[in-house]
Amino acid sequence: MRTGLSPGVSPPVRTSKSLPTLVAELESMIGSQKPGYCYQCAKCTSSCTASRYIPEFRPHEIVSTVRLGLARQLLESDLIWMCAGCQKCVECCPQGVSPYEVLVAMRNIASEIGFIPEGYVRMTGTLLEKGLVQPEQTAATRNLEFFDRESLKLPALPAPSDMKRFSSILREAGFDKIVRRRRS
Amino acid sequence: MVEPRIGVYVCHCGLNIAGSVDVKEVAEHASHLPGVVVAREYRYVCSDPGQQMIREDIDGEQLNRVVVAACSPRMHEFTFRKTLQEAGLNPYLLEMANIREHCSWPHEKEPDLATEKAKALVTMAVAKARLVEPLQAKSVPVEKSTLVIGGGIAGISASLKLAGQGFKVYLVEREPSIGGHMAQLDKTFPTLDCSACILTPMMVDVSHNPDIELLAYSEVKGVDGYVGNFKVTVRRKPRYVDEEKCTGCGTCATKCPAKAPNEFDLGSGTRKAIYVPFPQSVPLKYTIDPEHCLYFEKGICKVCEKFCEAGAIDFAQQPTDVELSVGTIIVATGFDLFDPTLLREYGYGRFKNVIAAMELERMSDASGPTHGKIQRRSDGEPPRNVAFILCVGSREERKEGTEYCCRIGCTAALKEAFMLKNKLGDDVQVFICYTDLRAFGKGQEEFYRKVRDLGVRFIHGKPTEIHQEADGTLIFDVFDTATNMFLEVEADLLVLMTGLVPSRGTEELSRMLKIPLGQDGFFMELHPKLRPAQTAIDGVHLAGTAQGPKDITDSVSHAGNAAAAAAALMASGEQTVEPIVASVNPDLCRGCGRCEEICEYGAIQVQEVQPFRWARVLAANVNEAVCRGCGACAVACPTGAISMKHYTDRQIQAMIKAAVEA
Amino acid sequence: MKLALFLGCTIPTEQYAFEISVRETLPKLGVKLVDMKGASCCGCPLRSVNETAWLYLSARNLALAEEMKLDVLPLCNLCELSFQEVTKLLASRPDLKERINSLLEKEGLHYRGESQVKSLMGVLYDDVGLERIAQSVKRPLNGIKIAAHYGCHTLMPSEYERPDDPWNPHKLEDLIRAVGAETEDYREKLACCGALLVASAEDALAHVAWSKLKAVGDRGFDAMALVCPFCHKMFDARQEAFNLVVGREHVTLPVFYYVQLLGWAMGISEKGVGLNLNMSPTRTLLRKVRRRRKS
Repeated sequence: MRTGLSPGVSPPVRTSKSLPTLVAELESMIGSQKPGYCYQCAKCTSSCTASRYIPEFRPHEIVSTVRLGLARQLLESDLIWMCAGCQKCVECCPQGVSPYEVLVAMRNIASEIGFIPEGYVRMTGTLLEKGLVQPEQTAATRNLEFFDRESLKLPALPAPSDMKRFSSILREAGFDKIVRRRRS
Repeated sequence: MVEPRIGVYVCHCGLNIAGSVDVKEVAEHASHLPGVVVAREYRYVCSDPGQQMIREDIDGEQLNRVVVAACSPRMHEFTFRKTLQEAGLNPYLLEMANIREHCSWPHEKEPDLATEKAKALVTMAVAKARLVEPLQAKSVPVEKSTLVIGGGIAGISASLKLAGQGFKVYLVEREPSIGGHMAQLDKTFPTLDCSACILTPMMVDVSHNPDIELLAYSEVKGVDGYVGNFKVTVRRKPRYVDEEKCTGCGTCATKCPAKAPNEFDLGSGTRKAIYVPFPQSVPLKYTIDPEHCLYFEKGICKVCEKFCEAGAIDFAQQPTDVELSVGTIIVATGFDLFDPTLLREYGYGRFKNVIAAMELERMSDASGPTHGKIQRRSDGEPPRNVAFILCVGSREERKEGTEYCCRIGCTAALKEAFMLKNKLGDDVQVFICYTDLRAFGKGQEEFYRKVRDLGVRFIHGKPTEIHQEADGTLIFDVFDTATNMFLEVEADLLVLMTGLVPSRGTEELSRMLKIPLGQDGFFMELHPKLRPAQTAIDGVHLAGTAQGPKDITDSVSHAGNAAAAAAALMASGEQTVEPIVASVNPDLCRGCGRCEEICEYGAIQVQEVQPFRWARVLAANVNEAVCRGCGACAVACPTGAISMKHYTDRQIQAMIKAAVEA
Repeated sequence: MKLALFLGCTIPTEQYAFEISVRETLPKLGVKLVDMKGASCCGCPLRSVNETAWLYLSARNLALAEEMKLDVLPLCNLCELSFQEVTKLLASRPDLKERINSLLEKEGLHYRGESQVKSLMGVLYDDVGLERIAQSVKRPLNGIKIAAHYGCHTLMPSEYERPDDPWNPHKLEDLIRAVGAETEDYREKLACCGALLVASAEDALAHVAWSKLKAVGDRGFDAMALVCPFCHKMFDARQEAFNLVVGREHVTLPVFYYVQLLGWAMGISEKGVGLNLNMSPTRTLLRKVRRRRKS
């Protein structure tokens, strides 16, 4: 029987005997992310664009959470998608941890288990259909005139010649799971 | 050859060996090997009773060879050799079989196989023991003098320690004065002693000590020889001032019209073309800098010569080389400061009010460029807000920085923060942005507490982009993990605590002395814990930051270590040289020189010899004092003329044969 | 000089002004542009979803350029950084290169790493040169002060070859001066536009972009010049929307692509550089310049 004080408003997070740290999974992915090397200088957060306007988003905290083995709940959250991708943390990290790449790798894992924002699902779909992540848009001017590529005398939109083969290769590369999940 | 009578001793080493190897079985097996007269197993052969047992057998069984199957030879080969010597046997008639590190430890989980392997190892050792020959260790005379390269606090300490014991010391320093970086400091932590006040008496001691010959403004150009007998060439650079005549009065500098940036002040002040680095220079002799002297540049002026009452100016002075014979060498070449221009995010070099730590020291020093006044570079006013950033360039994996911790940055920052509060008053705001605060030494935590008490503010976070406002104020964002807040810090003065890098010329010196550099670029010690002042080359020692970042306290201790090691080598006036060296059969040698090419230590050289009156041939000659017995020459030799004493081809082949047959 | 023109996704489907200005100005400065048949997205937006797909998509476009035997000019900064990253990754990881080539073979393509990746700022600064640009200026933009916005991906991370220094860039400012305008360094120069937050944190994005526009205006600049389609989308097209979301002072700042300014200075008409498509009040500013020239 576990005795102890009854949990208050903000109980401590229990660390389990075997901590699934995610570090091994992350380091096995393609980029150069190395969450294990972080020594908490917080330079990444000092330079972070998103951090200034999203108080919960602190790259040094996210990396530390991953290291402690408590990152599973992060995978299911919106937080890891709130990075502005500005690369400042990659540039200034003295240990090559690269919080941005840690987040990209986490997003890859999250996408695989089905946690992916709607916007990205949409982009994937459009890509598989048209070869680009968004369809041709109509541009408006300040005087509410409307233009498209043709009316602007621009050449036709580039696209892969064999769309079927293109999309099947992409599915093989990894989009298959995402598309299937979208359908389900 | 004498009929071998071999004694085999198999050690239990407590449970270290006996835990996985059946030592009784191994001893039983050994007793049946050819040449073995007695085979025993014992709990701790290296103990006194163990050694006594060997000695008694040597006497009682007339043993002439001993095999000890135990731990690694690195542990006790020396011990057992002494045992043999005490019993009247030549110490090189010992052979060891490593059945611990090579057998019982790695094969803990397979005791049967471990025992078989141990038996094979013993068989091999016995096979070799049958063939070992007695060898005599040679004695080489040792010069009782030391060359100390570098005149900073480490070099000075080492010199004074050795000189007191009656050894002659040559102290070579490439700057015009000794003192090194310690002379540039204002105060030292944690006691806040005035650096010059504690250093200059030692510098004066050096100059007055009859056993120390000070060669300032000089550099080591070449090193030859070996422990006890180094031959060093030192180039004395021309001061264009006669050291014998110069009285150090300074009139020349007062009259000199040419100015130059002052390196001692890191370029933030000026000096004259004829100068001493700082007022308490030792030796107090002036030097002309030919790059800024009007005479050397344009052939005019010569005002110094006109006014020098001692007639010491000598524009025609040439560099001279001095040849020294020394027994030991101590490398005390110190460090250089990391250049923060490399990390462009901090704006050093771009923004006037961003300075490096040493520049702040020079400002604080009463004999510095601002006479002790702390001021901003942009307008000369004293700052009201000062920020420090720690670890600039240190603990960095990016290519511009260094991987290691500089060890002194944290305490130096605390010292400077204290000094700022002291000089500028309590209402000056001081911020220290840190990642970890390392105040590990004696008195340092107490000093840290004192600084906290002064109201210095500590921000637990590291800033990156530094920006400058129109009035020269620096502004940056930093996230403080302690309060979880984004802070925007405004600073009149920003001080970067820069790290340490190996001194300029380290690579060249390492080649000259044949001592290796570590991965961090500093000279590599023999063992980081037990032999931090020794190198792979006997007779060459390390003192101070030349071996790695450390503060003054540790530099002085380290220098003492180097001095003691040097003294131990030189005290008896002679040095024993291990006889496990290469030996050349001149009949087989054809003088091709491949051995000389491959030898890392310069221990084997092809020389002209005259075996007969009418014949002069080239043959390889081994300098046994320098040879380390690595065996590379024996492998390289195409005719098989070289063999290694105590590891002859016959002996090795016998071991291989025994191993294969076992 | 002949380069394969890579448009990515955002430019050919939405940021038409960028494409129009580049097609107008670069050939006049000696850079011939060849369209890439069969080009697709560079994969960068979907790197967060699947890294292999991203590698494949970038490698695929580079292989297309290789087939054309030309170096490639991606106009968008994110595409350009993506190409540089993939080039370096595939050069140092033969196992990845093999995997990607096995996928590319299915489309009849092969990646060797022979096409160099250029950047628009690099081409203008290094290949065309400030002198030639200054010489082709017929209507110098005198009398106005323009803030340079480099964007983040032009400058970082510097472990890949980037067109300019990440902490103290100057090339865009030199280019601005080459067309006659004034410019100077300012504290917020390196601040990000926040564009990639659009998929997850719209509110934060509004604040990020709005605060930069406000800072630029407060510092007395007349306009902002940039080189990235995402930055332009945020600062130009969404300027009004962000004003509404932030709900504080209303900020109005003319925002241009640098190539639009360049084209206009070279004498090309407003429509010719797609200025009619800019949502921020760009034409009012240019009228000011014209009036000043007349007087």
